[in-house]
Amino acid sequence: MSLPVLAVNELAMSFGTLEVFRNVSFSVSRGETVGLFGKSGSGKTTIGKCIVGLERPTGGEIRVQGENILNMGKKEFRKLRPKIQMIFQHPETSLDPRMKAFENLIEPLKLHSGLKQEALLKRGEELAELTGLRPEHLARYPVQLSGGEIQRIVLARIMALSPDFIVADEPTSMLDVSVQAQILRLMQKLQRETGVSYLLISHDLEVLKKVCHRIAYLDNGTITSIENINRGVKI
Amino acid sequence: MDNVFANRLRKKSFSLPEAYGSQFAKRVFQRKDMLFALAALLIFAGLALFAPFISPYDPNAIDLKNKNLGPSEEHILGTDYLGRDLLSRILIGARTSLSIASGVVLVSLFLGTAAGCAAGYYGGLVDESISRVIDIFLSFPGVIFALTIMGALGTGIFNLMLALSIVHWAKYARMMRGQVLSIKKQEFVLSAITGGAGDFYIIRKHIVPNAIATLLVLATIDFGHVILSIATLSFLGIGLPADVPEWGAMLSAGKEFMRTAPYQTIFPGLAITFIVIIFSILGDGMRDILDPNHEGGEID
Repeated sequence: MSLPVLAVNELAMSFGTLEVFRNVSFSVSRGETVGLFGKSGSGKTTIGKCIVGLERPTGGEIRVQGENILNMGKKEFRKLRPKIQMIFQHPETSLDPRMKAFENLIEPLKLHSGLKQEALLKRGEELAELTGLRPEHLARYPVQLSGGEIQRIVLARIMALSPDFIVADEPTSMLDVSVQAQILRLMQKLQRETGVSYLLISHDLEVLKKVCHRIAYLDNGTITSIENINRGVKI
Repeated sequence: MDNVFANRLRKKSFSLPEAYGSQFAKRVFQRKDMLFALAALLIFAGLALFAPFISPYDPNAIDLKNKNLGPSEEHILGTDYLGRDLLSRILIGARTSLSIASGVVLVSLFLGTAAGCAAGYYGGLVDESISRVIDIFLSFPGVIFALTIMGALGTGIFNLMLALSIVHWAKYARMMRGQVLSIKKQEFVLSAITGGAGDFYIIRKHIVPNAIATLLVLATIDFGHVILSIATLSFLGIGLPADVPEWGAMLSAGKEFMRTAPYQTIFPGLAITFIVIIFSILGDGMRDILDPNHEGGEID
């Protein structure tokens, strides 16, 4: 049996005496979308940040392809980092406002691929095509783009790293309904084409039920149940 | 994707959005006070730059026969107690003040940016250490602190620049630290971290470019303050050597003749007032243009 892409075991987090969550355990297989549902302030985003290494939990383990990332050294984790990515909640601050969309898009490629200018441009085109972006989008500053366009650029930027796993933290909560559907469809398309797995964090149960294979319910700082969803709905 | 995409991207043949720079320029041109201040500054800077060529007299040439003369055709602004031409000394004095102030502001900006970045970005013990040093430097009254340093180092252009930089860097550092604390929590910085960017890359590519506008506003306003500090120290006789024409030193020399030859203090005083007002207007204008909470603010 193949290892899950991500396995979170008994994860716990406290800030001083304030316990945010405890005994959080779930796993995500390749090509699977797991939803994480909970009220605002329940610690969903903190769990996501722990998984991508932006926060250090106070207990438990996070295994990526079987390796506990919390025991990894800085260099070792940096090598793994492109494989675990995160989409953030607020499109308006997701891209550097002083860089044009295309510069934002190719930044991870510049950091990791060592590609030359022409090759970067070509790969940028492929990613733009993959996410349905047009050239004029890429020549704009983020402030001149809509929330949906920014989330497409964020997705293109993330896909540049060929991740195995993406934590999507309320990626559509700031978008209007029609654009929400477009972005969720795009995420499903990318999953079909690349086999990427998602942890979709949301407080909107309807959205989670439409796109997730399973949903983990976070309540009172712990996972209370994990529900299998018969995902027959195509958005 | 066809080649049209790549070609359009390369040639940028589609309509490019207005860059931040051009929007900033547009806002500047909409403000008459800033245009006036910019024009005045350009004139001042031009006069300072070409001062050695346009000064009618040698600013240090002593002519005791013509001492304490009022404004006349020969000496447009009169002469001082040694018969030196006041216009020539004010022009060369502009060069002295502007060049020293530029040096002080640049050094303070550089040091403050580096220290503030390190404190805000790394946090913890680094932040504690740097912040306490900043607190210590900010706890001294500026002029008294500069006086003490100049007392220890002695007069001279380099020593004056050093003393004023030591006094001024801390406020840049404190402001930069605050900016970094705010910017580093923004999602584009977190994206860069998860994208595998190193600390130096993030500071250079994301933090500094997004924080620098606020620091430039401070630097513009501070430029006027530095010129005042230079004049103050020279007025007290511990800024620059006596042979260097400087506005504060001219005021100090002229105060002995306030009743008989008031123009010896009025003209250098006006020069100081004028340049400080110019930088205040420019700083206020830049703050308004870049402040998202101010009417007409935030470039978008």
